[in-house]
Amino acid sequence: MAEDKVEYTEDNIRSLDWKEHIRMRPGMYIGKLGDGKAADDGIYILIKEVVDNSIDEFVMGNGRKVRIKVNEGVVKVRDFGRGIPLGKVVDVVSKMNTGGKYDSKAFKKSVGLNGVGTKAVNALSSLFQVESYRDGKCKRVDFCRGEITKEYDLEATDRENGTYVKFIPDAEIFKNYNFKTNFIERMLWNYCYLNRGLTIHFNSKRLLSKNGLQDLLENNMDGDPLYPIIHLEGEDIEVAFTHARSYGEDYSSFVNGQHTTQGGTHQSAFREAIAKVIKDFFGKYEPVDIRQSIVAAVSIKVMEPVFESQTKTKLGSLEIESGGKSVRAFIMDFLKEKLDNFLHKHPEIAGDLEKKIKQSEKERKELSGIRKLAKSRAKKANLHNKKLRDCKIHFNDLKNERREETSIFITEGDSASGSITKSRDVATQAVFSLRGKPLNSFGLTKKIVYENEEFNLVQAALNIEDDMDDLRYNKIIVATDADVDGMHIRLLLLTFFLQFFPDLIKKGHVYILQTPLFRVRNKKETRYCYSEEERKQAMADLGKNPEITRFKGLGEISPDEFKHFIGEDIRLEQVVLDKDQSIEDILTFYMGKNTPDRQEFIIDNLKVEEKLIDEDKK
Amino acid sequence: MADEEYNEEEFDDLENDDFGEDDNVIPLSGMYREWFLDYASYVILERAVPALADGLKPVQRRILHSLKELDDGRYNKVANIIGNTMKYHPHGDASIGDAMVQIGQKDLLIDCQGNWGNTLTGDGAAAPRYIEARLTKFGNHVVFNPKTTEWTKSYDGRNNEPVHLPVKFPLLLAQGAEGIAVGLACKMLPHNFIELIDASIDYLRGRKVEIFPDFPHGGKADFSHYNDGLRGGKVRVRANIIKVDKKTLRIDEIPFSTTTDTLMDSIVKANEKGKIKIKKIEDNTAANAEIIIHLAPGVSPDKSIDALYAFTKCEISISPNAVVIENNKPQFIGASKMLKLSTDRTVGLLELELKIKLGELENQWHWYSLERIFIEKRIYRDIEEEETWEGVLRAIDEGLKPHIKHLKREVKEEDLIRLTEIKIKRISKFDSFKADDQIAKVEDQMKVIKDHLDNLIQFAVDYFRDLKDKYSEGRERKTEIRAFDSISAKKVIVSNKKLYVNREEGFFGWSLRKDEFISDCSEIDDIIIFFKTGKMMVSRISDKKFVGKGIIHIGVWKKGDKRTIYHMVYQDGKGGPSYMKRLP
Repeated sequence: MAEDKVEYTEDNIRSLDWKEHIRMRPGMYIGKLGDGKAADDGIYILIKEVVDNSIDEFVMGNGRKVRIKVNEGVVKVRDFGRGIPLGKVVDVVSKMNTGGKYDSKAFKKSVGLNGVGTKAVNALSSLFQVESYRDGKCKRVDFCRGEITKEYDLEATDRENGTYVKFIPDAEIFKNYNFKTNFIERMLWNYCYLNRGLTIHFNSKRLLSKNGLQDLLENNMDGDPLYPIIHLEGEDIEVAFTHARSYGEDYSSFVNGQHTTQGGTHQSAFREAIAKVIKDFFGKYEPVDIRQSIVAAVSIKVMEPVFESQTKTKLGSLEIESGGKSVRAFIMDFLKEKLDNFLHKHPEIAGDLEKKIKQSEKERKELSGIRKLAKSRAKKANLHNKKLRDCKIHFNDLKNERREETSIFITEGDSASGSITKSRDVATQAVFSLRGKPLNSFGLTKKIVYENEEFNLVQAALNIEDDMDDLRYNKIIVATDADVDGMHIRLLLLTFFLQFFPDLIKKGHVYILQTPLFRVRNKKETRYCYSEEERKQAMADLGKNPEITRFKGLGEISPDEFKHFIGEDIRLEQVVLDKDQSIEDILTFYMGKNTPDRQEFIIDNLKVEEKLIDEDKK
Repeated sequence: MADEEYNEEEFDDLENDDFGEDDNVIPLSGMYREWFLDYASYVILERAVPALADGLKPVQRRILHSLKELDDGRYNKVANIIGNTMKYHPHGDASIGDAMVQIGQKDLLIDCQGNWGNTLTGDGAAAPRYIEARLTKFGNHVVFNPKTTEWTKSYDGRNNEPVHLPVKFPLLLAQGAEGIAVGLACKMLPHNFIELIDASIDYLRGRKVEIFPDFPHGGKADFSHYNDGLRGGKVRVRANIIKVDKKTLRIDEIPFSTTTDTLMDSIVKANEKGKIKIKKIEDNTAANAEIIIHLAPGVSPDKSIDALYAFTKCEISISPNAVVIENNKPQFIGASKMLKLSTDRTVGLLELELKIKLGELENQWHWYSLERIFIEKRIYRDIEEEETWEGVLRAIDEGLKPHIKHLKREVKEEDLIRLTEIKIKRISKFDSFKADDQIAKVEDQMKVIKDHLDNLIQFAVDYFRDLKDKYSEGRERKTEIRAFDSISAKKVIVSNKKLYVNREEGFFGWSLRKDEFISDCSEIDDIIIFFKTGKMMVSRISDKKFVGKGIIHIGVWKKGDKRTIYHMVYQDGKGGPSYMKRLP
């Protein structure tokens, strides 16, 4: 034992340079790395950090527009604020604990208080170029991974005041990254909603919000609101909400312009307050019925906010300012006054709201009618969920390091459950096997989740009957055959999730497993190809007459092969909601009744299967 | 790139820049669109809708191709045929088996051995390992011809399968088709075998064509709104109900798409709901349907027949929707148009067959002629001197030259090679007369075929007549065509409710059992009410309905009943003139 002892001497103690530290532990600064396939991947945080500074300028009343261009992995941001003081450009972007926001008066309610953000971007970029224009003079400095590569002398310029930052994320750290413009656009829209009058030019688009959070709801809602959006504002607080047809509760919350995707004290205070105020107004109803199907956005300003995580996605502050009102009381008082007044002044909206609450109440009571069945089902599923082969770690094991990796494969009957089971990592990968095609749940009420055994077991496996917070898997992976019936099952499954658990999709938990379409092999090498292009490439690489197998069903893939497809190189396509099209419209069109429109659409867009073999011969 | 300077104009141009669509994220609507179209296209093109060309769905085509491939005149186990079909149809064995039983039950293409189920009672077929099948003579005759078939590779590239079968008969119209696809459903009714052939002949003769469906289990049908089988049409089919005596009815023919089981279920259900009144129903079906209905005492048999039509599956209304695949698109084509297209295709196929045959005869003639020259003119001797292969061929070619002016085509190298392969025995036994005779025979045959080609329409007519002569036995029309009167449900429904009125409160309905009884009624009757004020109203009955006080008369209102006439006399104010109205 003594021989193996690791030395622990002065030599082991290291003091990391700031950039070294950032590059060594990027997660502490920008959350997870990722390659850009998820909206919270690091490369988007980089953009956010840079844009945050521009927004702060706008908030201070300097410059009404920000221009952003993201193309081929290069990000350019130009604002028209005051510009970084020319003598401090280097310090601001490359010296830790340097910034203009320590003086709380200047940036009273800002997020990037300690000025780490820009430095992190600098350290994590293979090129970081900053230029500041101030009163006819310009200062430019170029960096590479946090090191100055060139510092330019002051020059005269005729440009408007402001700052320009150009950076290229370091491909050593962000492997194979790829920006998805709609993730960026969604993020930028949030800035616009929270900063009315700010125009963001993003690539060829112009983003501008006139009505703040009301616009946010209007743009992000699926289907029409059941009554006009209620939009209330006060000092340091803005809220907007309405009810929709979909199940679940949908909140967007912000603190000092920061999107708190995981909520926090302000969001839970809002949830509580809104139910209480409405309950008091009508003098009856349960909070669950009041909140069912609510769509809301809330934004507050807090002095020196405290977050529960490094990435600032969950607010932890209990007070609005140190020694001030509690966040809870602040929101409660605001709603008590403003919302109560509003409901009194607008009886027709109050009427529509009550109608919805009554409907939710009725539906809930109906459900409780079959609760007995539900209970016995739940008991059975708790004892043994017969469709599920579970994994050991779960997403709701909050302390487990690997909780993010947890996933459940929903497979199509016998075609793959056996082979996925055999080749899975039992720590994090669970398998749920469907028998045949699930029911088309479009237009059905939530009762079906209890009546239909398969749906009930899915719900039990995911553990989302009461609350999304208890979700047991981070990734719900639909693994059907790549044939037409597999497509049909995907439609039916997603319809089920969209109908009853839209949050799963909204929060990005649902994925489609991509499996190879072809196997191309010769005696030496085997390649799996996910597209026609890859197949052609592989055929060109492998030379004469390789053997080509076309995978139509997952059943054709043996367990050894499957290991490659669900292991490290797993290819997943996230199910992402549209900005412009509502879930309701999509479902009604594709899953609803036959209409002449739909028939025409099908006939006009029929896909004729081309014959692979014939084509190759040519 | 690192040295690139900030460029304000780059941003100015942004609004005109084309960044292209974001291609790396497919949002939900895109996924739905892709998957939906994948599935819908497949179901329409490859599963549920038959092709115009041969009238077959892919699974049917592959089954028939398989049957032909395995055809040796003996019966094959259906399980084996299903297995063979899976070489072409990469789907479940059960779906292939079901499709095959359906073709078999139509009793046209497949010669069935064993228990193939009973379409009359709805009994299923025995398992595929028990039952056997082979092609019928008719099937062999009209469906296949490898020479006129266009072939393609099967899904795994290992076999050839037909794109379409060269069917020389309006098969789709004869068999009908049903398929529920996505976004559209195909429903085509079966037609009469003989009438279809007659119609094809009529069409070839330039006469008008009109065809109506015919159903294997007979019955009566009203085709006045058939609409040529296109969407929007409606066909009413009735069972044949016979009054045996005052207490008994017998059904001996059942409507299309029902079975004796489903029909009887519907009768029992109507009885439970009180719409008809029967005492007992029994199934005496054997080779033919026979359902005996014993009526409750005092119930009119004639009225019961009407009620059976109105409230049970004794009358079925069918909405046809003729749709077929042509050029990879669904096409909505009416039955008579389809018959014409099928007949045209048959004529085309017959012509092609004739031309192929003629080509073969021409080749034969050419060869016989060459052979005769080669032997008679002793050209085989010319090759004795030659030492090379090329020399041999050249010598034959030279030798033939003076004698081949009457040939219809040039002499090719392959002809020369074939001549070198003639055996000595053949040369030594050669008989000029026999050879002449042989050539003359081929010439005669060619003449006949040319004659057919010149009179193709007549040839096609003869072809159809031949089909009719050979195969029409037992295929006479089974369903009687007639126009139905519409039966008013109100007239035939059993009066199973009682009308009560509460004059004090102004209510009427069938649930007011404590109040004044008026008469029997049914739950769909209308009620006429006269009030003191001179007001009169007709209102639908329900369990309880408020009409107001002052009722002086209330009764069941029979529309079109000529025997009851109401006269209403009323005075315009006190001492005013009196008026009178008559109803109806």
